[in-house]
Amino acid sequence: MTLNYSTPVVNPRLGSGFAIFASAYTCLVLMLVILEQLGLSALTIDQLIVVTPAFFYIVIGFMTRTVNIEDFFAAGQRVPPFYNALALTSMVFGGSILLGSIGSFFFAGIDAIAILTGCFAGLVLTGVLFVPHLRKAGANTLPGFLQLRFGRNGVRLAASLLMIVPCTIILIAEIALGGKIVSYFLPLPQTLGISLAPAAFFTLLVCGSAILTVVLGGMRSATWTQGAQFIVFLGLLAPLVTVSVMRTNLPLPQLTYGSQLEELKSLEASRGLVTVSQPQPLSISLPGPAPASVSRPSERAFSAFRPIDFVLLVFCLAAGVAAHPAFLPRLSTTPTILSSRRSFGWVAVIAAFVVLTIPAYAFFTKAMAVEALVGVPVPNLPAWSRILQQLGLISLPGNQFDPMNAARGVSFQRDSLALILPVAGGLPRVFFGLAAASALAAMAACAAGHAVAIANTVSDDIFFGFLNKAASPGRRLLIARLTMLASGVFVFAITQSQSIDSLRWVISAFSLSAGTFFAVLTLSVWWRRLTAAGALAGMASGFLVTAFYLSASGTPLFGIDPLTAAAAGVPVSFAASIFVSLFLGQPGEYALEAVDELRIPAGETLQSRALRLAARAKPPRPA
Amino acid sequence: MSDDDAKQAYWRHIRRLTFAMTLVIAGFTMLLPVFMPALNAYRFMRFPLGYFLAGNASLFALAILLYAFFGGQQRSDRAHNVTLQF
Repeated sequence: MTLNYSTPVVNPRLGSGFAIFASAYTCLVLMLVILEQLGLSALTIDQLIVVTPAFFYIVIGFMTRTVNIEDFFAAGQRVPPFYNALALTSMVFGGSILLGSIGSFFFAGIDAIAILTGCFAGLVLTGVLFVPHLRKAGANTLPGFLQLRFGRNGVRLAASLLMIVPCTIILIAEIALGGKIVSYFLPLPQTLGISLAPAAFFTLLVCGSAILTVVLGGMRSATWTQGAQFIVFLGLLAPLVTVSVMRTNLPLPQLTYGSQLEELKSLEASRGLVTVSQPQPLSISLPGPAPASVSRPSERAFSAFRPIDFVLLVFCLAAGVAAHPAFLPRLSTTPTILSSRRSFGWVAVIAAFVVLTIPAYAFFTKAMAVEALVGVPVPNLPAWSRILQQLGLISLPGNQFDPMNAARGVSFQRDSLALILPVAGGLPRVFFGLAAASALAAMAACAAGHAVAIANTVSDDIFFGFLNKAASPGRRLLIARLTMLASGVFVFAITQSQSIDSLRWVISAFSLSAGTFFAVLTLSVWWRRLTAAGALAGMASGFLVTAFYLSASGTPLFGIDPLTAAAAGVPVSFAASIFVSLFLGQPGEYALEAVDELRIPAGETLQSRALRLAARAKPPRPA
Repeated sequence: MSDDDAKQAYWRHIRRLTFAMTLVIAGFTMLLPVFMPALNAYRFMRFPLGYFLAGNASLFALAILLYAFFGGQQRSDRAHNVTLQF
């Protein structure tokens, strides 16, 4: 039997589009380097390098606007594997993970590799457990997949309501972080004649620009801006490679930062910097956003995190990233089932590169900062330490009369450490902005992706799937866009009323995704017997247990830290799904047929079959 | 062999492959780091060996294994006549 498939046509000029963008961005940087020599002020340079990329993203978002449902919800399913991988990677390693892990390496030493290993393992795990099977379903959202798998709208609605929670948490964390980074660069609102508190103004700018990039084109805009954002993110390499050449004579920082670790070890020993070397529960030992001084050894394993915390953190992040409802729609944007596999091959390579680069960046920063600043008498501090102090990136206690004591008290902030390296290396001012632009690009990619995920699920699963099944495409688009705007307003309100530790919030959100969805997703592909009721029970119990555990204090159960709550939530979720499926009813005929279909990674997707059957069942239109 | 048996055989193979790969991922990312302190006594390319293995080498090993895994899946697709039309 031959079936006719309409394979989406991939835009053949994508490569040139991105090449033009990359060249334009490089030109901007080089031009600013020249203008700096000609006397352009540092403040103008900072503003240009930070604002221009954001302007580019909005332009790309506007150019990829669409009124087509397929385009809006799934980027037309015609994103080539490589670009799909770029978009996914830049979203997973968003601003909070990027800056948070650089800061964690700085304060907690090599133990912080758990954060990156966890995210990477999650991506590989998606590739292994879910890729061809979820792509075979062809749903635009995770709840949509569960609906296709079980044929029950209740499961879809429950999953949709539950997935909004972790997505919103991550969105809030990213926007709050973005506001903080931007505040180092932009002029105060008062100087522009706007009477708003500075924090509110900066957050509003970041939130507004993130929403603006995706509001017109949904997933399509998100895909292509995330590709561009990955290019800007690579700007982080410029200061890193330069510093690496300066310090090790080799332009391969990922392979040479071992020497920085050795240097740090001897510096810490000779200056007596290590004051805490016993591991503590993760909630305490994970560095916070408040200014702090260096107190833990850099290269002693498990001197900050306990081994159990390390392993559980990797587990929670891996399960969380693998089952995160904002990442899984990336499977459906590839043109074919086969290309979703290729896409994850690319993801593994790109993510491995990112994961190797981040610790290199952190340890080069730390080596330079510790060598020149920590434990150095105040009169001997380099000139750039004053620049960093003026920018508000470090604080040098001002007691000039007790120089030794003062020098030991240099404190750094976790989320702005990435900005120190270019200044410490004595690089042109542009590189300072370049590092910030990279962090902001990662932030924007993650924020936009989550805004799209929330909008898609509200419009596709709750509104179209539940409230109004006869909604016109225009109405569905309108609902999605309104949801984006509403989530922007909500996120802005939360960032103004809470103090947000972005890294902790993101880890908690991944824990929540893991606890809620990991067990159900795994079982729905790999266990034929799972029923709709079992899936509901698994999601609900996993969510409740994880949420309760997250809000606990101390280490209530078997030494599991609240931040790694999914370690409690995932087993409960598995147990509940299996128990309810086995003892309460049999899977329906539809579910069994769907799961058998999922296992064959070829042919028509479940989604298009459902659409085809629905179209056939429609009564003929009156003439 | 009937159609159902063929599907069963294919699925058994895929399941075995996936199970093995999941174990490998867990081993590389959750078991190997536990031995970091012991391995860190040695150095490799000026990195502490345990950290290098857990943080750098295992990632590349996983990336390569993922390719091998996809290759294995596709070989099995072909062997069991699951034709990827596109």
